Amino acid sequence: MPNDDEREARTATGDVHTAGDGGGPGSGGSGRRPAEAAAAPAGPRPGHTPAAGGATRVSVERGGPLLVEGPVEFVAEDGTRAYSDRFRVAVCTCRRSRTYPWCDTSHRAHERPARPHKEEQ
Amino acid sequence: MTTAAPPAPALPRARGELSACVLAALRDPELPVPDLREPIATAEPYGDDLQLALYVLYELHYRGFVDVPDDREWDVTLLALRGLMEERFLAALRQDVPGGRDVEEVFGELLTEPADTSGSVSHHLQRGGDLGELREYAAVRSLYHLKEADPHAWVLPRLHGRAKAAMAAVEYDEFGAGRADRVHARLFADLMADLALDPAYGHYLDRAPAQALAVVNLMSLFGLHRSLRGALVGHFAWVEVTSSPGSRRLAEAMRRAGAGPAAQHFYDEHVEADAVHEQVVRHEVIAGLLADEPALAPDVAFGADATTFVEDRLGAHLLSAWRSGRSALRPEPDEGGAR
Repeated sequence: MPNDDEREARTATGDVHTAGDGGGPGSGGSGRRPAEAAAAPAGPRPGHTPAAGGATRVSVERGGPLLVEGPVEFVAEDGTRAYSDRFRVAVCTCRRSRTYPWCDTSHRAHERPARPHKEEQ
Repeated sequence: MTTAAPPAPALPRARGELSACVLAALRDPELPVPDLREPIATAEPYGDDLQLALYVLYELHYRGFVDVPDDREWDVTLLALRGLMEERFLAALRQDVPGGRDVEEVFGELLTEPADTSGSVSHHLQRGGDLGELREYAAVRSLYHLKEADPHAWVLPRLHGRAKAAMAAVEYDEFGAGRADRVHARLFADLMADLALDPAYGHYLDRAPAQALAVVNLMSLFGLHRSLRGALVGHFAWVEVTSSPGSRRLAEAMRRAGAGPAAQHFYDEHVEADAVHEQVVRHEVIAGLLADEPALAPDVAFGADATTFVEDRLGAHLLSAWRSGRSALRPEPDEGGAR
């Protein structure tokens, strides 16, 4: 089905740790991990509406990734860290990404094939 | 590796009357240009001759050609010729592309993975493309990827506020986020070297079929006309929306065929980058532009649908050549070519 119910929202910083408030031109690292993660910025409290004064903006699309202002350090349950210094980072929420934790558009809907009861994979 | 400006490419070989006239005019500024209105009006709008003539005239706005003075870019005679050819090309597109579709409908389709992938080049290459096909694919795509994101930079002064900020951010990523060695065009040159192709800018112009020229000419057409800014944005969104899944298949194809690490990296990078870009382009560039200028919605839809049209023609050409065991490139008299 077409994603005609996409919506965008701004929320306060969620569970994604952001690595500092840098990200100016050329300031990023090339996929390497920072020596130590900077402390999460003091974002607005939950429920506080957005994004003044250096808060990290996170947007969501229904059925799609979380879009977080980069750079981002992602800490998985097992402590594994992934780092991205892109200006915006798409964090997978469907868990189908082959490049998890980053989105690879695997969440997208698949057209029904012409033959019934056979799903395109 | 140096970052100095590389040399401009040589002029290509003519493919008919129109391209011969343009090339002659570029070689000799004193040469009177004949009245080409009639031949342009009757030329095949997607054919080799008109598409090459248009490509060469557009190239004056990018890097130009060796031995052609830089200021020929604004030669009014050449601009008038270009205008006539653009009219022919654009009129054909307006006729061949379905009109009256809305933006959500167009992108809803593009965001759904199709069930029938028999016409998809990236599916074909993933399923069984050999190194020869991958090399031809890269040679054909080099016309765009060696100037990746350049045609889209022209839209920046025509956007405002949210759309401009988001478009500039995506372009910044395309241009390496401040690092020369991460510029996507540079990553593609590295891919070409991995595939033992010549990464020199414009090297494969003579080998490129008309269908490949039309893909790049479409971008230049939309990029160079403020009146087509909506179409440029729709086109750019098409590229970003379709890139990520296609790049995943091409990265797999490169791995399977034993292409080198740079060849794999180019497409791996585009899986991740364009999963971000497509979100930003849809939610901020398109939405921002249409909030400012709602009347441009049909142009956004047209830009995306016109891209589908020219890309489908290129895909059909590549697949029909490969499936019948032929090269998809134009022949080179001297040597065997990229295969």
